[in-house]
Amino acid sequence: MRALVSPDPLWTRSPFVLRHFPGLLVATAVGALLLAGSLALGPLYLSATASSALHASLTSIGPYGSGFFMQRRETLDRFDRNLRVVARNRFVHQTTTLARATAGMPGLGPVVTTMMSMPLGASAGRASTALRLMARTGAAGHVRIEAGSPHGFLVPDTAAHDLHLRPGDRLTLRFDSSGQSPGLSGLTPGMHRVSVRVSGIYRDLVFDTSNPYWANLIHEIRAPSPMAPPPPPFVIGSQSAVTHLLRRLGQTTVDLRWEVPVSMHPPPTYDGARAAARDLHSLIERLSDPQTRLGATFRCGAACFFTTASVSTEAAGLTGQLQQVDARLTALRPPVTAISGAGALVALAVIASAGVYGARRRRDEMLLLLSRGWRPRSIALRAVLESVLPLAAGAAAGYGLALVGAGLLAPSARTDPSAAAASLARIGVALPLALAALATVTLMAARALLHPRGADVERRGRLPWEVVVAAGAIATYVVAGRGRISFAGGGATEATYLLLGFPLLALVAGATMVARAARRGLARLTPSAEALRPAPFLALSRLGASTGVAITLLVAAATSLGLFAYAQAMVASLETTTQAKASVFTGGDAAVAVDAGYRPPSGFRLPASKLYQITSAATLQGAGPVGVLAINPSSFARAARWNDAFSGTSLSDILKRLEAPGQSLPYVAVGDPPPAGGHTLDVQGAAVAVTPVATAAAFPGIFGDTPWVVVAQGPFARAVQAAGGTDPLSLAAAPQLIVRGERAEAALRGAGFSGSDILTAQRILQQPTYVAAQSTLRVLRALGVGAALLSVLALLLYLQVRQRERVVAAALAARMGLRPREHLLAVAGEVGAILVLAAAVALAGGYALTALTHSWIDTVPSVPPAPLLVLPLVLIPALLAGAIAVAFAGAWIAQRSGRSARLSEEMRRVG
Amino acid sequence: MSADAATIECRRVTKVYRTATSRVEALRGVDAVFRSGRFTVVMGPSGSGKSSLLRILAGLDRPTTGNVAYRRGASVYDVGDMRGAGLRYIFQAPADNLLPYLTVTQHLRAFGPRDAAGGDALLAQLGLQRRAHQLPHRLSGGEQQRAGLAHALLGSPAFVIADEPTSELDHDSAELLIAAMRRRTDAGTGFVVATHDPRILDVADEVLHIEWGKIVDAGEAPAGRPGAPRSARPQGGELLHLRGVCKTYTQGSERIVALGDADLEVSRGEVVALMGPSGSGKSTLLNIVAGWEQPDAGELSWAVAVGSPPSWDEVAVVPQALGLLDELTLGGNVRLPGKLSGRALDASGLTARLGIDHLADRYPREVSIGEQQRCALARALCGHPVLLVADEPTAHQDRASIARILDAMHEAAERGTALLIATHDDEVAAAADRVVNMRDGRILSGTS
Repeated sequence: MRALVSPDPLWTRSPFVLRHFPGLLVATAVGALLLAGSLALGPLYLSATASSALHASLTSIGPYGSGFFMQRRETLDRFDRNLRVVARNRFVHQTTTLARATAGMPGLGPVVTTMMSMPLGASAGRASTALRLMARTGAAGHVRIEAGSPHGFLVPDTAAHDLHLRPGDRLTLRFDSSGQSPGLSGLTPGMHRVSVRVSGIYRDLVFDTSNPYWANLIHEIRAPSPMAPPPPPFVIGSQSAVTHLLRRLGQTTVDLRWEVPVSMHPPPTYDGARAAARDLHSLIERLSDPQTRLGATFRCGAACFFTTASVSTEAAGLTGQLQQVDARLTALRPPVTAISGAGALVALAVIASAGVYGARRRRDEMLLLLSRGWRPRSIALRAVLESVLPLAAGAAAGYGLALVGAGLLAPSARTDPSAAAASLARIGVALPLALAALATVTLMAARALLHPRGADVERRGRLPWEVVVAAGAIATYVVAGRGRISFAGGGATEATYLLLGFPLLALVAGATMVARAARRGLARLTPSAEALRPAPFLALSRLGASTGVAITLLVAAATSLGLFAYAQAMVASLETTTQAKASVFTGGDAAVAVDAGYRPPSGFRLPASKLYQITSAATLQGAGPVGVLAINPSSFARAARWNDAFSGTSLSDILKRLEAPGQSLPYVAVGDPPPAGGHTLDVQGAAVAVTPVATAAAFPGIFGDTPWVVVAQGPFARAVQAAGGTDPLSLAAAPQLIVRGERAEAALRGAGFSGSDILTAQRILQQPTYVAAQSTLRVLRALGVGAALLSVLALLLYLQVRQRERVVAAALAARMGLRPREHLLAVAGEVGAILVLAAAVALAGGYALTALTHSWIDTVPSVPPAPLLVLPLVLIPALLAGAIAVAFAGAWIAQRSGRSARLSEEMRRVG
Repeated sequence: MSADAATIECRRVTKVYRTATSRVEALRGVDAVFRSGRFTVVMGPSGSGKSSLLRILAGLDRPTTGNVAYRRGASVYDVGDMRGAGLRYIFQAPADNLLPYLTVTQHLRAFGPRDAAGGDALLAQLGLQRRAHQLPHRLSGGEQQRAGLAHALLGSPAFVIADEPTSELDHDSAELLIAAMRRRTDAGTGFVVATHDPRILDVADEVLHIEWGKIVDAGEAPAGRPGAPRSARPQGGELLHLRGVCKTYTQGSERIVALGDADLEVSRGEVVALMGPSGSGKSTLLNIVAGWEQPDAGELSWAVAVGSPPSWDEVAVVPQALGLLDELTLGGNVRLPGKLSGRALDASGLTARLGIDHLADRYPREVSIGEQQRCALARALCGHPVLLVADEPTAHQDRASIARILDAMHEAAERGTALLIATHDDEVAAAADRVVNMRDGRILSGTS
C-alpha cells in the first residue's frame, strides 16, 4: 500500500478517474441506484402500504369508529349508599378529566360525549310515537336540517311527519318512573310529562348514516337487520337542556358515552396510529385503575348499585384495524423482502459486472500497474476509491427513486420516518458490500491477469455445475412437496422462498443444460453450414462459436422469461382457484342470512336466489353424512357464480336435470363421486330415493370438506314429506340469500342489511394467506419481467458492443459482397435463435413447473375446489413474437451502431 | 536498487495454454540466464513463445513448470516480487504503456521516485521535454513509446523487458528509442527485448533464438543485418492516379493536415511502399484509396472500372485492425470472399505459402497476431484483386514470415495485382518496386 502514503496522482485523482470511462461510470452508478432503490423500496413500500391500508380503513370506519369509545349506563348525579348526592352532574366532571388526560395524545381528537335517555313516549295532538332524548357534542352540526333552526330541540323528520310537527310546535314527552327509586330523582313515582318547543326538524339519521360522526351509534340509529324492530329516533338538544328535561321526567339513569376520535388532520401514518393505539391502551389501563386520578373519576362506586348495566370500555376500532393492517403486512413482508433482496442481489451483480467490465475495459491499464509493481490488492483498493463517488451519487438517486416509487406503488405516499431511517440504514450496510464486491472482482481480475488461466482452470470451467443447481432444485421440490409449504402465519417466509427458489434453481439448471447441448449441436452443424446462404451461414457460425457471454445471456433470458411464464401461470391458476373458492363459499357476489319468509324489497333489482344449507341431518347411503344444498333452479343460474371448472356438465343441464320429474329425487354429487348402489338419502329418518344426475368438484354455496348433495328445493321438500318427514328446509340454520352483481353488497346494504352481516367474495380475496401467495407470485412475475428486460437489454448492449468491435470486419465483409440485408438477417438470425430458444425453454419450463407446483398453494383448503391448473397459452405466441421482434430490433440497432463508428479510425487500430 | 550483478535465471521453464479447441505448448523447457548491463534480444517466428517468455521474466505470468529466479548477489527472489522494483516491462502497443488520464510528467510522478530532476533529464534524453504536460492521446505513437520507456527507466531498474517496442514506430522514433535503450544498457540496466526489428539487433549484446517454445541458438549478436532482394518485374500500365489529394481533420481547436496536395501514380502489378513517420499521412492515403474516406480536395482516377466503393475483387484491404471474423476459423475467413461473392476461390496454395495452412481449423483467438495478420493477407489476395491496400502487413512478423509475405506479394504482383503498402519495415521497402516517402501529410519523393 505504498501509494496510500504517497500523494501520487494515481491515488489523488482516483475518485474522479471514472469520468474518463463514461460507460463504467454509468454502470456503477446504475448499480448503486438499483441497490439503494431495491433496499429502500421495501421499508418505504411497506410503510406506505400500511399507511394506505390504515387510511382506507379509517376512511371506511371513520375516526369515531376507530377511536376510543366508552359507554356507561348510570345516574346523572353521584350518590352515596344513603342516597345523598355526592357529586351533582358528575358526567361533566368526568368529561373534563378525560379531556385533560387525552390532551397530550397527538393522534387523538377532542373528547365527544353523548347522553341518551331511555325510550320516551312522545305525542303532539292525538298522534304519538316513541322517541329518545339525546345530547351529543356538536350533534347539531352533523345532522341535515330540513326545517327551522339548529339551535334548540331538533326532531327527526320521520317523527315530525308522524306527529304533524313543524318548527315552533310543541311536543310532549312522557316517562313512567314507577320502577325507579324516588330518592334518585326526588319525584313521586308515576307518569311525568314535559312539553318542549320544536326548534328544527332534521333528516332522520336512519336515512343519513354515511356521516362517520355517527359510526359508534349505528345500532342506536337503525336495526341490525331488516327483520329486527327499529330503535326510537332522537330528539336532539343541548346537554344542559336534556339533563333538565330528564330530571323533570324523573329519568335519572341514562346512557353515557365518551368518545375520543382518531385525528384525521392529517391522517395518521402507520407509526402514528400505533403510537395512538398505545396511548389509547394506556388510557384504558388508567381508567381501569382506581388508583389513578382518571380511574378514580370514573370509578363506578355506589352509583352502579342503582344501575343494571356494567361498565364497558374498549379501545375501539383502531387496535382491530391495526391488527388487520399487521396481518396484511405479515402477508406482504416476505414477498416484498424477497423482491427487495432479489433486487439488491441483482444490483450487486450489476455492480460486480461493472467491476468485471471495468477490469476488461481497463485491462491494459491494470497490466501496466502490475508491471510497475502494483499488487492486485492495491489495484482493488484503487477501484474502490474510484467507485465511491459514483456509488454515492447512484445511491442517493436510488433512494429518491424509491421514495417516488413507494408513492406510485402504494396508493398513499405517506411514509413513516422510521421507514426512511430503516431504508437509509440498509443502504448504509449495502454500500460497503457493493464496494467489497467491486474490490473482490477487481482483485480476482488482477490476479487472473498475473496468472492467465491454464489447463486446470479451463477444465474447471467446463465442469457441469448446473448439475449442482439441479440437485438444489430437486431438494427444494422435495422439501416443498412434503407439505412444508404454507402461507399461513409464520410459514409465509419459508413458503415465499421455496416458491421463489425452486423455479429459479430449476430454470437456471434446465436452461444451462439446454444451452450447452445447443452449443454442442450447433458446433457440429457449423461445418455443414458453408453450403447455406450467407445470412444463415454467418448466423449459424456465430451460434456455433458462441462465447461464454452468449451462453450466459441465453441462460439469463431463458431463466428470466421462465420465471415470468411460471409466475404468470401460477398467478392465473391461483386467481382462478381462489375466485372459484370465493364463488363457492359465497354462492354469488354477496350473501346474507335471511328469514325463510324474507323477500327482497320491490326496488331490489339484482338477481337473487335463496339457498338452504343443511349440514347435519342427512346421510347418503354408502357415503355417510352429507351436506344438502337445496337450491331454487329457477333463480339460481342468474344469481350464482358458476365456473365451468366445477363440473363436466353445464349448469343449465344440471338445473334441468334437478327439476326433471321422476320416481326418485335427482341430485348432484359434490366432492366425492356418488357411491355405487347408494340411492337413498336419509333426512332425519325419512328415507328418500335419490338418483345422481351429475357430479361436480365444487358448487356455489357449499363449504367445508365433507361431501355434499345438491337438490332442487321443491322436489326435495316434497320427497322428504312424502317419505314421512317434516319440511326439510326448516333444518337449515338460516337460508342464505345470494346476490349477483358488482353492486351486490351496496344493494343488500340498501335493503337494510348491516355490512358486517354481508358476506362478499371480495372478503375471501382479502384473506392474508391469499394475499401472501398472490403477492409472492406477483413479485415473481415482476422479477421475471424485470430480469427479462435486463437480460434483453444486456443482449442488446452486448450486440452493440460486439458490433462496434467488429465494425472493421463488417465493413470488409460488405466489400466482399455481404449485403446490408444479409448482415441484418445474420445478426437477427443469431439473436433470434438465442431468444426463441430462450423463450421455448422458458415456456416449456415455466408451464412444466406450474404443473408440478400449482397444487402447493391452497389458500382456503376447507373450500373446494382443489387448486386448478390454468396455463395462459396466449404467452406462447406473445413471447415468440416478442423474441423475433427484439431480434430484429437488436440487429437494426447493432447495424446502426456499427455505421456510426468512424471507420477510418477503426481501420488503424492494431488488431 | 543497484543494477550490478543482477541476473534472471530460467530453469526448464514450460508454459501451456489451453483454448477451446486445442492445447498450446508455448514454452517447452527454456533454460537461460539474463544479466543486467547486457542487451539481450529474443528472436523467433511469431507464435514461437517470445511473448510468453517475456511475461514470465517480467513476473506477469508464472511458468506451468520450471523455475524463474531473480538473483542479486547471494540473494534470490521470485520475479513476481521484483515487478516494478528490479523489473520493468514495456508493452508492444505504445498506448498500453500509459494511462489515458495522466500526462507524461504525472506518469513519472506516479511510477518513479520523487526525483523531478532525474525525470526531466530522462525526458530530455528521449526528446520529450516539450511534451511533458501532454495527455497520451496528444502524443504520436513514437512519443508514447518513449514516454513509456521514460517511466520504465526511472529509478534505474536492473532489467527492462520489452515486447516488440518498435513494431509500431516510424523510423526516427524507433532510432530514438533504440539509442536510449543502448545508453541505459551501458549505464548498467539489462534489456531483454523480443523483436523482429533488425535495427535493434544492431545494438544487442546477445541474441536468443527461440522456435516452437525452445531456445535453438544463443550467442553474440550478429554483425549487420540481412537485406531483402528487390524483384525486377515488368509492370503494366497505369492503374491509379491521385492528383492534389487533400485531407484535413479538426481535433479540438486544432486543424490537422493529414494529407496535403498528394500526387501518386500506381501501375498494374507494381509494389509501392509508403514510408514515413507516424502521423505522416500514410494511413489516410490508404483509407482514401480504399474508399473508407473521401478527400476534401483533389482527384482519384482509375484506369479500370472500379465501383464506388470498390468491391473486394477490385480493392482488397489488410488494415492494421485486420478485421477477421471471430466466429469463423482461419480457413473460413480466407474462404469468406468466395462465399460472399459466389466465386469459387482456391486459396490452399496461398495459405501454404504464408505458413498458415495447418491452422485452418483454428479460430483467430487461438493463434498469434502474426498468424492472424497472414490470414488477413491470404483473405485479401486469394481473389486476385486489382489493388491490394495493406497497412503495416509485416508489423507482427518474424523475418521468415516477412519473407513468406513478400513472396506472396510478389506472386500477386506478377499476376497483375498492384500493391500499395504502408510500412516502417526496411525489408518491405527493399522488396518494393517503388518507395514513396511521406512526412507531415506530404509526399516527399518516390524512389525506384
